Amino acid sequence: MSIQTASSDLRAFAKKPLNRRSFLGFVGAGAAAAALAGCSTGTATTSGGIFTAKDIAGVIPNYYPVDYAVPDLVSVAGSTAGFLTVPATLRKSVPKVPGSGGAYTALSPAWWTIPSANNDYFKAVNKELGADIKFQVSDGNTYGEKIQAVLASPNNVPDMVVIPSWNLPPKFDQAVGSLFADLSPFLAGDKVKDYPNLANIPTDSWKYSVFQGKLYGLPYPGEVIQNAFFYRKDIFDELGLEVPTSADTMIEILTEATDPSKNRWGSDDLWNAGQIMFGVPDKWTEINGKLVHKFETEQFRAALDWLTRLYKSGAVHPDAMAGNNQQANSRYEAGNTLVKSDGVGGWAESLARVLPSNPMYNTQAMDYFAADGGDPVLYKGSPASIFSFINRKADEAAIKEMLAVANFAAAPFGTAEYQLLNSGVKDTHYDLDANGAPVLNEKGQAEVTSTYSFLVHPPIVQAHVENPQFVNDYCNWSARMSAFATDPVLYGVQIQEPAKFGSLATPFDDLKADVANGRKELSALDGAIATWRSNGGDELRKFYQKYLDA
Amino acid sequence: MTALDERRPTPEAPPADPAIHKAATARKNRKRRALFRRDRTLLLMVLPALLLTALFAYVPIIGNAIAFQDYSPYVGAFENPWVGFANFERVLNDEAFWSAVRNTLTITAFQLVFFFPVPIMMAILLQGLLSPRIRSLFQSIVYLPHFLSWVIVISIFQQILGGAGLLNQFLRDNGIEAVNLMTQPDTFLILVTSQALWKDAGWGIIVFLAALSAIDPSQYEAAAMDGAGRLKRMWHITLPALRPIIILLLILRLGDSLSVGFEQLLLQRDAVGAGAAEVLDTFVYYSGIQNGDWSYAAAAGLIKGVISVILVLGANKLAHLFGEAGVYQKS
Repeated sequence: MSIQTASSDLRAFAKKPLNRRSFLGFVGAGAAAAALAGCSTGTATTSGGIFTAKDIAGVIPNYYPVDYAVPDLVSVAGSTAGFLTVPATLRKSVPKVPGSGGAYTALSPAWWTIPSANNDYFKAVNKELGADIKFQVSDGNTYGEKIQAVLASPNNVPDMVVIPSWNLPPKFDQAVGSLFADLSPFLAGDKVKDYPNLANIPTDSWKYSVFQGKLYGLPYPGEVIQNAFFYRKDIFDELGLEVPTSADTMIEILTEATDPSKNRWGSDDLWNAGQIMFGVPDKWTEINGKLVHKFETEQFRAALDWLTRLYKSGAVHPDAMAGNNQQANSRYEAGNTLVKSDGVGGWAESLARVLPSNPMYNTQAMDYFAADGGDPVLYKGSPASIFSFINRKADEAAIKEMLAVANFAAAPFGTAEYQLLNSGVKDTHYDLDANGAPVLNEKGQAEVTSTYSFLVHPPIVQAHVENPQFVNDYCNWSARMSAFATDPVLYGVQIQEPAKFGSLATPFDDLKADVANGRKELSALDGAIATWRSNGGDELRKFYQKYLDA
Repeated sequence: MTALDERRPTPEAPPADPAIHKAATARKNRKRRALFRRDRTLLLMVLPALLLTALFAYVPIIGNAIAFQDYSPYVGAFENPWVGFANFERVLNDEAFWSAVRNTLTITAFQLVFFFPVPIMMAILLQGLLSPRIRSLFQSIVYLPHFLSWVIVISIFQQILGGAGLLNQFLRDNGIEAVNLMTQPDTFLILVTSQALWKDAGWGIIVFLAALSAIDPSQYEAAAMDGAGRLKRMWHITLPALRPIIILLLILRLGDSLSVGFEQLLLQRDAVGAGAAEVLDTFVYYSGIQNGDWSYAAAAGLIKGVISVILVLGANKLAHLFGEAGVYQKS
């Protein structure tokens, strides 16, 4: 699963079954929290405070872009820029050793094999940092549970905590102030000039990192287009299939491609794809000045109707219909399915996984289309997808040292720091190919990981220089699609919903599965919407309306 | 024992009227002290277990207080606002909760009939096997699935019965229409019960085997001498010997009846939909842990706990009425 996956994708993700251990971990955390109640020093802040754009402008850093390399494929309408080659000489963006010998713990997710602690990669980077960052790496698929347990026990919160936006726990607005340090005194306005690589991060990403009117998060910027429908171009060509251009041709072509006797189905679950085709908003849309939730829209109904037809056609892999999402990538990569929807980050990850064993593997992103075959309506992805936070207990010197480490981690492409963080040490972790691009060797693939990048990340570019064809495919697709991107309602405003609204969406996830599998009629949607409204949906609308009016 | 008897205080002379009660109490206390002295080694040995039980079973009960709060783990427990029975009202008015209760009870009732007797039958059959080698081989085979996690068990079922599984490949190869048994809400009851049978029925026979081995073989011999056949011997010797243990397990099962295979159902909930697979435990999990509505989940869990206790006590009482020992007895 890719880290760039947008929130809608991740709701399904969050529903992944957990094992008993993680479940018990939770129960334990709840009990411990109750038992420790007396010792808690929580500074309860009232939730639901609305902060205006002016409030937020006062706490975020100013934007001072830096250039270390000129992209070969430039950004169009906010699309992702790309690099095809590494500059002949790498520049140093952090002249002085950033750390002063401090030792810090950092909690971070990994959606891949967890690297061994204290390996040569960590040692090499920590040496350059002049600080000992000890990562506690935890499985990304169950990270949400881990985070809830860790945050519920203030004494066990590490010095730095990475939290993906989709794992921000309920009532986080109460947690953030009592657990994490306000970074605005160190970064607001021109103070960020002490950390030039942080000043290179766009303003929208910083705005999105403001919680309760204060800057708490260090952002991992998001891309404009965060999801894609991927298709197996190699198999499409082999079978002589056309790439679909409308909702109906999609079903036709996928049905044609299906041959269960060859263990081949047209697609995996395309619920996300269906919602994008029909222009379902991510959460809210504004109709005649009134907020309308995605569940209430005609687009949602049409997308669900389409998904039901797709399921009925027999073109969806039976395991996907049974709700097994974990194996979606392996089904696709084995050729058991030919189309899937995934986050854009999954593209490069998939190539890295499969190309070594199957050089003919060719996965491409389809050009988006509206259901009727016209231009699609795409909503911009959120401006930051992952945050990291610094423990409130850290003193001023420690916070400054950690920010200096973050400044190192935010070094953009074209710098020596970027190469170290993304490829490790030359000859140990990577070798240079004929074009001077670093290619990870076996040790590099096992050790080099994204944990430092999760602390904070430079603006997203596509820099898989070892595979220029992919960079071209990716950036050209991103440029074509970004032209259709529009701002969703309340774009880039960080909003924490009260916990009592948390379960409102669950019945719709269940309804989707029931309707698509033919267990319920599409008309059941009306009842679900009525229940949603009376159970708190209308109240939730008022809650968001306050932000819209602010 | 003699030493103890020597130490036992001699009864006092009958006291004056107003002091009767006082003296009786004093006697009681002395008796208690004596008992304590006698059993102190045993008590000492029990102490660690008691401490652990207190720490991990009784202290966390305090946590149930959050069912009466609007709880957030990030503020002190005493700073969380108290809301009385508001959470319970919400739970009891929630159609999804009652649907979960219905599903739970249906699954329990079904498994009581189709799962519970199977280990008993298997144990009796196994007892009848003469060759010890075949018997231990059989035992190993039926025990083994117990040690597999639910994730693996369900994957195995999926690989065999799922839409892309062995069965359907076979059906398709022979031109028969495929049927995905893993996504049928109508047959879900049978599916979960057969999964449970495959995984745990073998494990369940252990306790019955132990009870069977306690039966005096001479009883069978005597019955055989009197001309009792196999069935008669089973009916008049084997089953009566097993009865206390069957009743004990039945009562415990009833107390557990509101918890049916949490992991098993969570893993398959998406496949057949919440309508068939949402049980109380998954309901609590989704509302509390996934959606962070802790107080709501705690209220639902507490209701479940109270009903379970009533079921155990009721069943135990019923067992006493029928002259059985049940789970426990007041001495």
